[in-house]
Amino acid sequence: MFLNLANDPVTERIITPKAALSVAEYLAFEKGMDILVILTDMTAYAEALREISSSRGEIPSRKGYPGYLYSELASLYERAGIVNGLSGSVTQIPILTMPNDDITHPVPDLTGYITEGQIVLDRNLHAKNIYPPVNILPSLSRLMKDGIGEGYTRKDHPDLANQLFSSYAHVGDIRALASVIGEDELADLDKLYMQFGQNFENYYINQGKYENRDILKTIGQGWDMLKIFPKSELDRVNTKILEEFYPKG
Amino acid sequence: MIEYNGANEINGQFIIYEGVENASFEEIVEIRVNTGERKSGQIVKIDGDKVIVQVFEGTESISLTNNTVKLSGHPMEIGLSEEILGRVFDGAARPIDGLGEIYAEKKADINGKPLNPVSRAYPRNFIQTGISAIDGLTTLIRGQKLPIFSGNGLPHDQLAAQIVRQASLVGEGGNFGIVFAAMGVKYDVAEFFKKTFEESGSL
Repeated sequence: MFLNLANDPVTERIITPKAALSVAEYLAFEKGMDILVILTDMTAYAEALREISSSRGEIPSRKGYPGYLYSELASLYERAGIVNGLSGSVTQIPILTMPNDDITHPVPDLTGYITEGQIVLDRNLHAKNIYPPVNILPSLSRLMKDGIGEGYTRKDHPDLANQLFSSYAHVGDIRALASVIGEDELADLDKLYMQFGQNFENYYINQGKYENRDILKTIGQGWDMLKIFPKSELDRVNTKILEEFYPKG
Repeated sequence: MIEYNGANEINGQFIIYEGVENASFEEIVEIRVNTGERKSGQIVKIDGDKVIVQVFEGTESISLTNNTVKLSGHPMEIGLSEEILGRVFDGAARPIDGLGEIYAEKKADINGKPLNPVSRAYPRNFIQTGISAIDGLTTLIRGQKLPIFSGNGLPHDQLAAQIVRQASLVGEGGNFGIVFAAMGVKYDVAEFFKKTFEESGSL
């Protein structure tokens, strides 16, 4: 555990993640442990780089950050992974706060280029008292397809995830429509989507801070959300899998 | 080891020394101030025999004449051993939990060894976090880097703490460890994480 607090020297702040990652690499690749590294807050790290860079008199790039912000971030994020023939691994969860919730700000933007996906928290969901307020639409895990399904989780997991994404994305369209013509004027199927959107946020995304759902429970919960639709509406799921896993009754 | 007396210029967190020989980029230096203080710094720029040193602890109490600087001959290093597990350090890897220094089994450059891209294995195993939104739809894989994009006032700390409490590799025992680095966080956030780690038994 490495702590550089807000009132500690800025110059130490740029050493902190490097020192932490050195420890992680040592424990992972020499002691064979599976290490999870949490780095918070990457925005403060980038601001420390900016402060030092401008006091050195370097030419600033976007929003005053130095031009080498990208390579600095990459040199941290790329210190994750698994090495052939060694048993340990380094998994990273960097946390960054987007100033003004702006995903195009240099720090989240450059981070997104390097990392394998992102989990985006959303202020509107937070305002609805949903925890964790994960907005799944812009969230993505690029390595997910290789670690789920048969042999890893359960064979219906990939299809189910696609279907949930697609149905929830459609909820957005229906909500926009409802805000124009009013909820009562919606077609019956669209009303189902409105209901699904609410259920999905309240019972799938939302969970307790000490609630530990295992993967089978998560998958089961996913099917429970989808069973509000007739089978014909679930067009992202393979028919065989649909027959096998669509909840009966 | 040569020591150099007196600085040429002090500007903010930087000190400029002239007439320094055999300096190398990113080398760590030790600065002794005649008040008895010791500070460390890093060489950030070399121009002929002129070097610019960035002082980690700040340049308060340093004047142009009251200090000597000594080159260490190596970049920033950190002492490593398994004792590090469960300890708390400050931003520059000095222990702050009052349990004394780490007995280092080896030393490593904090910039790390570049990993041979060919020797990288493709990340595969699934890490269960116990959070539906992550496990079901944005699954975390062993060896992955998956950032959380948050905003001011959103509960990213609680989410990270929950991941720390619940994360496990399915199917294998494995020994799971957590390394936590806080940069520029507020005191209450640091306390929150400290408490979480104590509860989960990882501190």
